[in-house]
Amino acid sequence: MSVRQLWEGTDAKPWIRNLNGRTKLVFLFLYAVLMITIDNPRTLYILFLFTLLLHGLAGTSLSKWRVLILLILLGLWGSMLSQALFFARTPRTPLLVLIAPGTPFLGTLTGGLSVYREGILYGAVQGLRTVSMLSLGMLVCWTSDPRQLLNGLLAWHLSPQIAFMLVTAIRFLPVLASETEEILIALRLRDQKAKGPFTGIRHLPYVAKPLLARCLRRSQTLALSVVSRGSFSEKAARRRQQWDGRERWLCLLFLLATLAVVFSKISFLLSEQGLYAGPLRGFYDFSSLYL
Amino acid sequence: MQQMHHPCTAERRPMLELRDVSFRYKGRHSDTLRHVGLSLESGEMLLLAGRSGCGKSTLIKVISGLVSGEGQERREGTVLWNGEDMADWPPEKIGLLAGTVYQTPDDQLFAMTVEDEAGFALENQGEAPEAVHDQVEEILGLTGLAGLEKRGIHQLSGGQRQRMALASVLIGKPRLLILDEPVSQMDPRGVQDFMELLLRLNREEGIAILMIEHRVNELACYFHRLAIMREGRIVYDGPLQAAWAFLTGRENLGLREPQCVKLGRVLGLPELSSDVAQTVLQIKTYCRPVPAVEAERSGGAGKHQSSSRPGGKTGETGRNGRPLVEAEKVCFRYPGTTEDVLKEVSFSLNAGEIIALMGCNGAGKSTLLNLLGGLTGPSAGRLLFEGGPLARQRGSTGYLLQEPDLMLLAGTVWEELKWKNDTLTDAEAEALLQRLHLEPCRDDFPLALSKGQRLRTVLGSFFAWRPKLLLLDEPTTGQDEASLQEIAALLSHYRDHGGTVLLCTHDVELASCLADHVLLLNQGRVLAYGTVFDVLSRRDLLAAGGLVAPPVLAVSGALGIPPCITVEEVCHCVGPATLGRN
Repeated sequence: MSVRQLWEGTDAKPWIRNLNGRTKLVFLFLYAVLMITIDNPRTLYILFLFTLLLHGLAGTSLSKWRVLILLILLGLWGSMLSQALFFARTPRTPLLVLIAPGTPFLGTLTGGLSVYREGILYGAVQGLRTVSMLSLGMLVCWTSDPRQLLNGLLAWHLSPQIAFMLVTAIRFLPVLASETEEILIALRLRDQKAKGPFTGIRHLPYVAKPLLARCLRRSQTLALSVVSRGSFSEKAARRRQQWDGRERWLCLLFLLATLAVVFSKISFLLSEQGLYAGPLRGFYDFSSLYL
Repeated sequence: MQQMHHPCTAERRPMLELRDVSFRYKGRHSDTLRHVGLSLESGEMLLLAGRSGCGKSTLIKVISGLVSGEGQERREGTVLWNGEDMADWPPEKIGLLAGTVYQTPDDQLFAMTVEDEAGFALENQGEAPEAVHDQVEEILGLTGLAGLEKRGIHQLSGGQRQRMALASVLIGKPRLLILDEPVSQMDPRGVQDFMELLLRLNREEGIAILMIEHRVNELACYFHRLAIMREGRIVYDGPLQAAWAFLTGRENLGLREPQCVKLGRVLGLPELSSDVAQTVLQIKTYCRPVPAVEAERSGGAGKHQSSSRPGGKTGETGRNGRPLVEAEKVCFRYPGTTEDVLKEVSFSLNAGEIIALMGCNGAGKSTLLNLLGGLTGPSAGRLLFEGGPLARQRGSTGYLLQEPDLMLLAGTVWEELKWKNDTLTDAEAEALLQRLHLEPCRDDFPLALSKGQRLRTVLGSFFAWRPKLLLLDEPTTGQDEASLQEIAALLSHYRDHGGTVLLCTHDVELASCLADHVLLLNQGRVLAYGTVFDVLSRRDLLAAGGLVAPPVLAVSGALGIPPCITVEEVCHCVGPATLGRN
């Protein structure tokens, strides 16, 4: 599978490819709200697993799973490691002392460096938030036709220019991926002195300029092509209003569930501040246990 | 302007008519289009040519209604469709009547699969899914994409993507197809297939065609009418065959003239024609073979050995005859595939030569360049550079990728030449700038330069390293004639100073003028490797390699003179025209 094919979604199962762009965007948005609201590691973990389950149901290919796992691991480990080392809140329990505060020079300089248990947990929570959104975002990118998303955004009366810009980023993901690879090759060829395993990393700062210049040209042509094929016409706007009833109900249910979670969490936080209401006790218990 | 096209009469109204159209972009001090007048009848085919930056693409935008002239843009004149002013028409209405196919199909395709892309315009018109499906099937069949409905657009080959772009606008049943350099990245076989498809659409569906292209030499046989633009004006609009006389003394218009026209001009024929038979007839009428050739011909035509190139370079060995690169039974297979892309390829490249690497798409040319450029290693066999392993020769090879824009990394042309190169002194960089004709652009942002300038900048950055071997992957794609000549001069200069060039190209005319040897690949094997004359004068090899024979080869055959592949060679065999000789 080429780099370009890795970032396009024709191999996804039809059920998810055929979902309306608005349904996907609603899910993405509400999921983001849930991720911000929930602090419970177990619930976050379950929601993260749910995104992976969706990938499984969508038929994400092996090559894409590899990319996804790599990004998830990098995101999780990065977050956990940084928080484990630099967790500043108290209480904190050192699991491993890397540099004791009394160590000459380094100890004085850093004030000691340890791996903290609470930091790992906090990093895991933050990491789970990030990777859950990453996982769901990748699912939407890998299973969506740019037309679906453009139509979805336009149906919500977003400015055509902004909607097009947002969707173009997804449309060009396969092209960007393959061009980045080509630019890195070009850099290898241009830099005659480049040697060693970190050459690619050293070259990364030079990737943006040619990539962006090409994108600018490409997006201009794409915009002309899309406009002249009537994507922003009134007839197209009328067609955009069509949204499958079942998908609408699903979105509505998810919206209600998210609102319930948000309400539950807010009321729980208020109760902790002394604004307690007896009839909401069920919400408090739910929030305390799961959110 | 020389206007030789049929006048628009009151009885017959042109389908598309531009009347005195001028256009100026926001922030520019001069007009990009200046008083353009152009008309097109229903079902007509028009080839529009001109140098890069002369306003051709802007003309397309004006016709398509994609530049409004509102705000700080300024548009004057009228664009009429069947006599009706299109000024207030929305782009989507114009898009259905006049569909545009751009140079790079990748940039204009929007959907994920072939069928979704093809049906996009109809969906936007609010057509029922069943009707869209039926029409998509029909249009994919028409463009040769039937059976690929579910395929992702990124999984299509280059030629298929161009057809996909065509299908995506044909679905709206346009009356006019506007094509912006659609064949610039195709091999000769691809060009032929694509042009035959367009001719069929023109003939059977009555669709008018307006094509923008520099490669007039290759497309002359498909069009009857040519318009030429220069600095925003239409300077010629008339029958294609009459354009050659107009172009005499106007070489700066950026057109690649057909070889027969160049030959006719050099021989001083009274009528210039791109047609081989017409040219042969005129040569027979007005010219006389040079005595030596006549004597040889009387001894029996066809006795020439293939190496007896008339008046041309023999190119038997390199300038110093020592091999720079040697390939011994090189094989290469991409990971995860079951078939070798290169199959026991053996050759040696001598120093001080230009070698044209030719063959149709998929022959293994780019893979071979990747191997020589050190991007990957052979699966089997050996590659030697100056007798040692190729991998050790890093820094001796410059490799220009097919898309030179991706190799421009710095903020100015000057910085580009000196990028990570401390071996180049300022004086040497100045001299290099002069040789590249880029002194006026010294402090310009490279990616904002013209196509030819961008290519010369990348070439310059390689010259700055003084490589022994230069690998070029189709560097002349989409370049106009002037730019082509500048690149050819740069490569000749480099070769004359001991450099070796392996030039991957489909351009037989360029190879015949510039190269010393030709390495012809077919399906991963070396089909032929010999002097440029030995390879390009053999029709059987050219056909097997998916190449088109240079027209003067047919001319020389019809004249009964030794085979010729360049205009100069024919002129060695045939004296200049003497008007009224017969």
